[in-house]
Amino acid sequence: MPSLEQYIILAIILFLIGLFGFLTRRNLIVILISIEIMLNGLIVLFAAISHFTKDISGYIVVFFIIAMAAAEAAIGLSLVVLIYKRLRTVYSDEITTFKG
Amino acid sequence: MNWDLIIFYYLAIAMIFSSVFAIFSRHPIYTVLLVLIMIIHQAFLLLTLGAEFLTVVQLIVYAGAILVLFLFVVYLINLRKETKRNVFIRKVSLIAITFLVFGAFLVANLFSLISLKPSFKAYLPFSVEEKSNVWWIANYLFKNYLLQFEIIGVILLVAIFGAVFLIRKVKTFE
Amino acid sequence: MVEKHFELITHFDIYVFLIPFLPLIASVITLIFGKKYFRDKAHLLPILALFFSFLLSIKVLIEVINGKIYHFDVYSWMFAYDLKVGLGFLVDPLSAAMITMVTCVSFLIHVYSVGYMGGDPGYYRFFAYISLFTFFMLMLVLSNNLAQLYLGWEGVGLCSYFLIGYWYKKKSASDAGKKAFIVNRIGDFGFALGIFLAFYFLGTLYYNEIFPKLPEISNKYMGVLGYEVHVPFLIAFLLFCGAMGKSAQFPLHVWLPDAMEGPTPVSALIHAATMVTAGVFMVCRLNPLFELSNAMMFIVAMIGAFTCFMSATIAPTQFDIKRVIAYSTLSQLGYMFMACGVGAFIAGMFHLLTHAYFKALLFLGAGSVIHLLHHAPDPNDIRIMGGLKKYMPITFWTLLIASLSISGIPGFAGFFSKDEILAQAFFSKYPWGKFIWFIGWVVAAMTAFYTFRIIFRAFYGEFKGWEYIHGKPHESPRVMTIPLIFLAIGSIVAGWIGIPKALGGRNHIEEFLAPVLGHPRIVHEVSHSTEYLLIALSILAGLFGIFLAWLVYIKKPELETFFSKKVKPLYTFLFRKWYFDELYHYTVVIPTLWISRKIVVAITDNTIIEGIVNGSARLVNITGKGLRVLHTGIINHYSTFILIGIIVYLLVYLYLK
Repeated sequence: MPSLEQYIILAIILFLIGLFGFLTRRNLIVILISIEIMLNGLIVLFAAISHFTKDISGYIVVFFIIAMAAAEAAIGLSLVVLIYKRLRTVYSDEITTFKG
Repeated sequence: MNWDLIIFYYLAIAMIFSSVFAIFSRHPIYTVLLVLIMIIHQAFLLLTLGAEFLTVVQLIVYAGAILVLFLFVVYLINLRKETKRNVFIRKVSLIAITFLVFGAFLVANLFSLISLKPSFKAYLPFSVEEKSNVWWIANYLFKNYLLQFEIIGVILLVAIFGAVFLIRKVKTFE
Repeated sequence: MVEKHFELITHFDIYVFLIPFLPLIASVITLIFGKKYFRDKAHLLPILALFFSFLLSIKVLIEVINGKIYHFDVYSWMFAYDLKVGLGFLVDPLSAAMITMVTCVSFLIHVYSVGYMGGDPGYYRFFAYISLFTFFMLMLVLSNNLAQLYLGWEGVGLCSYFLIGYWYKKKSASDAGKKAFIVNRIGDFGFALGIFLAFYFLGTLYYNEIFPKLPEISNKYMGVLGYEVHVPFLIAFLLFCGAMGKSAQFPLHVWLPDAMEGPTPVSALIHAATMVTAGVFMVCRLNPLFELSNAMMFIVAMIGAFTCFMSATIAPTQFDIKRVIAYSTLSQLGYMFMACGVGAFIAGMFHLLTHAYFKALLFLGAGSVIHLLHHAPDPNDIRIMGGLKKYMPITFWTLLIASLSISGIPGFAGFFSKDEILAQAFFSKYPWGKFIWFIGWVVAAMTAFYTFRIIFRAFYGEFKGWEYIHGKPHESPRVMTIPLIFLAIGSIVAGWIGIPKALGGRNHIEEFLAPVLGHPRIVHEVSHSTEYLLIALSILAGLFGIFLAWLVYIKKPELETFFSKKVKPLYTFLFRKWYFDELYHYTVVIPTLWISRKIVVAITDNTIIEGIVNGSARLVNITGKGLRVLHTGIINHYSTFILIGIIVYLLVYLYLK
């Protein structure tokens, strides 16, 4: 069984990867997916802690994270669809209506 | 052979690599599929941690619903063409610096979690030997976390309403 | 203060309180509601209020004659560490005499103004202002401490500004108002410094507490700019600066002739009877302080003498009837200060009281003639008057009575008061008394001359203003002539309260005012023969003046231009009012304007203040432009900012809490 540190390192790495994508990519859809990656990192973190402390709360949180990620992805994607309908592009550096 | 460790490393490496490729890929379809791979590996990681119920939940909800949603939207938007231009936005350097600062910060702080005291008393204890993971989760979910459960239900309801509301007729630029 | 048994009343007395406050209420109501509701009936409330104030003053006067003194505070005004000042009333012989005179003359002038100001568009404003003025004057007179004196002081100055510039659309009038106020202000600045010093050395501003403390400072000296100055002298001098401004003594006399731009009732009330006498009143009220310093008495006497003489030399050259009377006022005020300067405070107050009547009468009578000629381009000019004796009999006779009074003809009020001053000056213990007597004697002759010059020019000879009137010259309406009659009675009778013992009288006024103003400061017992001689000399001076005027203006009119042609430079010097206006213009006005334009406006206004105002606007602009860089519209950047915010927050939360 790997130690808790290893799980936590994995979680952090996943989170940072997702964060980097979120901050950097131009494509709105990929930004949303990076958010999912971040959330998965969190899932790993909570699950690991819960396993090692024998406390059910972590698994409950995982459950909730999954549900919440679904809701958030639905809304985010409908917004992306709306933006595409309006502005004909999904690239963030081309969406400059709020410039200035 | 320490199979636990080997399996863990495989799953970890796979997750990390697939997510890195997902971030760096040019085509959004590739991104979605690579994320799918990551999800599946993560589901099995949960299995090794003894949470079989959550494995299945993740596969059904995450891989089966959310990523399908993403795929639908990608097709809807017709992101056929490979994006020829830059994947990343310009001037990524400043953002990278911020990112690294945050990363360092995170690393420095989360390690305090490692010093879990031996006298740590679980709030809602469970033991895998007695009952299954499903039993424990259901038991505590519907007793102690009932309010949060209902709230999550409401959130999902709101998300449905929101999605329906947002697809009303919007003036397209044609 | 002299020993006489008085009954002191310290509780609140409603009658005394109402004396100034009835005019105030009338003024405020008229001012607020006058334009819409009162319009041409705006005179009702002030006249009513003044009438009752007059009756109350008589009542209070009788009580004071019977030996009562009122001294009470009404309202705690200032409380600051050591300073405790309230609004209060002190009714003693001095203030009782003053308020009777003030309310009487004010009431008569209110009545007169109904006729004079009738039809004027700002009718309600006029009455509101003169009632307000009466209020302030009464507050000044009735005050029991220096701070309230200053309140009334400033208030009358303010109302004077309003009333001089009453016809504000006329530039010369508004300029005159400004001039009056500014010159007054200069004097008031000294006055305020005097009050500060008085408080510093005496610790209190109430009269009844100051007077016992005066001996303490009688020998104190204070260092000013390297010189050791006698403290009572300094305080008295600074207070006298205010008196110089208010009572138009040299060098702050320049505003009074210009103040004739205001309506004639204003000149009568303010610049004859009340405001300008406030300075004399103040000196008399504070006579123990002034007497502590011989140098100060000398200054008071000399300034009075100089003003008296100077204005008496200017008056015969002026053609504007109101200006002549204004210079006459200056001259008579000089008499009052001369009296104060030789210790004859009672005589000075006596002259103040009689002067109020005949001077107001002179002004109102002149106003009567001006009212007749008001369509002329300059209705005040005596060169278009003449021969009005048969057309305006009441005006003529009352003005004649006033002129006889001012010239010191026996039987009229002015004779008694002026003689009292001259006699006391001659016998005064102060060494400059005889010089003061001499000046007063010479000026008496000049006074008679220029006053009768006006009488003869306006009422004898041929009327020259036919083209400015409709039909024949006619007498003024009753509402204007009846006050004239009353004032004429006053000009005769007011002197009878002070018939000197030498002529067989009891000199009531001296008995009455002695507890407040002290006995005359004379060297030794006056020998009656010398006094008779002095009386005879002053009567001769008056008669000589009248004779000279008759000679020049009636008998041999060709002598009229004799002086102006033979001694032209001297004549021009007198005609141009000793060039004081020009002097002040070049030495004070132009440098002030230059400083204000070049330095104040250029530096503080344009550079500093506009710099701050515009600068702050520009700062906001620049900041905005700078911050706008952050609004790129690219959400990746926005997410980075969120991340930065999270980092900062976590840093603060974890490490700096």
